[in-house]
Amino acid sequence: MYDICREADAINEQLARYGVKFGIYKNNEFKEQLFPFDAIPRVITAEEFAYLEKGLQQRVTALNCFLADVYSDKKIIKDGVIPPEFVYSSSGYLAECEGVKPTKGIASHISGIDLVQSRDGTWYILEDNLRVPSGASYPLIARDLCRRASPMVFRERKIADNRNYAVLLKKTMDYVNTGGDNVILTPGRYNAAFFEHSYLAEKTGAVLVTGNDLFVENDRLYYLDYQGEKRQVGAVYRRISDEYLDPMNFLPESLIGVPHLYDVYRKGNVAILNAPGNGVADDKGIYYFVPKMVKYYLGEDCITHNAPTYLPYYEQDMKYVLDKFDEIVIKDVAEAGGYGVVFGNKLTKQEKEDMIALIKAQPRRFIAQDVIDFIDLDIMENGERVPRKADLRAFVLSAGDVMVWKSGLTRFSRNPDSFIVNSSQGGGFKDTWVLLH
Amino acid sequence: MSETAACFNPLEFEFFYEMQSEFDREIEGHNFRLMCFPINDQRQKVQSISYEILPHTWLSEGCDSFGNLYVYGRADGRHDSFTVRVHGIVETGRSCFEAYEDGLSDLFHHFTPATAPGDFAAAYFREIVPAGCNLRLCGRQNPGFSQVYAPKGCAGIQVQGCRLKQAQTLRQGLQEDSAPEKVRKIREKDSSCTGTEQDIPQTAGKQDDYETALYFMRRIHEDFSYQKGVSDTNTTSEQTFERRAGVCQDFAHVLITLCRMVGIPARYAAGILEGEGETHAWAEILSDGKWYGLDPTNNCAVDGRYIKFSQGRDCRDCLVNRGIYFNLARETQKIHVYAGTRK
Repeated sequence: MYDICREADAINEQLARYGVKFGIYKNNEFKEQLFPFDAIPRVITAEEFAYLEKGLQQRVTALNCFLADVYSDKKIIKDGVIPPEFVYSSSGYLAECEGVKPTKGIASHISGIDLVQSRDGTWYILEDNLRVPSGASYPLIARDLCRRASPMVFRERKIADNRNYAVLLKKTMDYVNTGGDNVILTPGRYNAAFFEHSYLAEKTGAVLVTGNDLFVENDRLYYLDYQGEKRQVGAVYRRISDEYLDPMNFLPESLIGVPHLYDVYRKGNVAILNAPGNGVADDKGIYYFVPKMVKYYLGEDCITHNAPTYLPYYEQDMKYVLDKFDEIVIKDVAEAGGYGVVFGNKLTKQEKEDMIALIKAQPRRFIAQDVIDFIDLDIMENGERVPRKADLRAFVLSAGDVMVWKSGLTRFSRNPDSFIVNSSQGGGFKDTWVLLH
Repeated sequence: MSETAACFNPLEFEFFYEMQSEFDREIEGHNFRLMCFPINDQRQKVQSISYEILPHTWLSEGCDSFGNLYVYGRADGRHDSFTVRVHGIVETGRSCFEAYEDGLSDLFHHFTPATAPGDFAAAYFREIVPAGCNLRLCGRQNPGFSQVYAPKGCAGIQVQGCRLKQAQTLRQGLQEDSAPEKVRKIREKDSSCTGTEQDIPQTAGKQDDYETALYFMRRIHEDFSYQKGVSDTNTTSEQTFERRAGVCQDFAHVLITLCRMVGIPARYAAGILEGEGETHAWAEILSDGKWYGLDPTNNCAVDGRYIKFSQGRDCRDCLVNRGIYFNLARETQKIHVYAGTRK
């Protein structure tokens, strides 16, 4: 392992050369930042991973059941398990998806589940990302570079090879493909994760396209290949959010989408990964109900643990939030990427009063969680090992079988006082090693 | 369905819908989506339909989540005009309601950006609900509204949708107090509008929601003035509550907002009305498990003279013509609609 640490600078240099960057818009200006790589890996034992694998498979299966149900029969609402408000007022809910069955019934093909480990070793789910979770390419390329820098490290240790991600992803696309080529639809090179889009296209053999390259004719989706020949598309792994996907069905001002794409999808003539409308299931308010979903759809107890979560929507939870305000973290359900997260004890008296007034006025807008004292992971900073907060994004791919990738993106906060690890907030990343035994 | 038969005599309509767009310079890469085709439901049955869309490179048909039919396509070449002609024969008035079966009633409880109430909606509500009446905005806040659609600076306005049960009790209060007389009057007035007493649905059982909505409709018709040119398809009901003026689309939105505020599911309907003119819009409310059409612009219940093209949460779901194209052209649109009973 220390070999790799010695090579850390060289690896970071390589990452920069490969364009492993993260684009950030700040004050209307596009800036590309390197996504700093720390060479000390997060290590997950075989037993731990076996537990996580089972738990994540169960969780994603239940979430897919929920997505299929909520856009058709709505049994879970009718049976009173989830209040209708939490579905219909979710900004991720799309009425356009009502009655539309995704190919082979899978809505969340690529799920990014964020976890943290507390000091007592318990893993907690922080959030489910079922729309366009990004990040798999970073540990993928980092592993590749590490193996080149220090091959012996990987020869001596029994570490699960994570370079099969592209195989899993291709299998996932092929499984739902309705006939035609696989494409990865990117908004373009100014997108935060453009490196990832191009890298995954290269690795899976999918065609990297922008909205302008795709077009609909009658009931099918096509693109023009390099010879100028029209080729049919059977699966679109889109890296564009729902509202921009199709200007004829969603936001008309979208210039990065494909007109009529959704009409073709509705007829079952192309697969879209992940399915539109998934936002209703990874809403921070719906998160609270995931263990209930597992029980409801699968009849099993939920293996994964949610962080203790309170919905001010319920009166008793509101009381808890007000009583324990200094000990909790408040999250705005409409925000993502580490924005809209407030720690009760970090507010001034005035800010606190304003926040409480806001929660009382708009209880559905917020969730509150106990602050989990999660373990720090060491990183190297100026030649020294220092502890930093870190989380783990596990990738779960659904293609008939539900497959948990034996790796994951470990993100850490570079600021010693911060709990927020999101890349858009300037965090770094580590490789995640899953031991074979 | 003997009950249905008692309501109306079916009418057979022949209708034309014609839209002519002229662009002051040539456009290209024109994608369009048209929703001007009568749907088959309990109330109306399409006998025949034909359409012509010029120019086009290809055309295809689809059906959306609300059961609306649409035609979509693309016109590749440069062109400076776009024509849509639809002709059909529809049997209407087969029933005065449509049984609720699509499982989406919860959805129509919830506000959308175009129908979310604000200060002006709340003020109007206070104005039209008689003093001493129990009908009021109640209990728990409608979280959906405040979270997603509250405009900045008016978070937590005390406009609250409510749970159905509470709303119903309150509506009973309205009827027991001061409203029955008013409701009866609406019924009389309504009858004169639509011809016979039978035109007002006489379903057995609970009529609370229907009567509350009728009351709202009548008040809207009295208090709002019909005025062209003050609104467009982006106008919200809150803006109309402030302006107290608009066209059929705005009247429908206002009725939908009021109904949803007291927990009655309501939806938007677009289509055409007997005679010559433009397209029309009205609202539908869910009462006793059935959807009834109410037209606040004309202050009457929807009957066999209405041909429905589409239904949805608000006008955004029912846009007759959606299009995108390249070039900054100015578009002038002429719409001509004709619907008449067949002799």
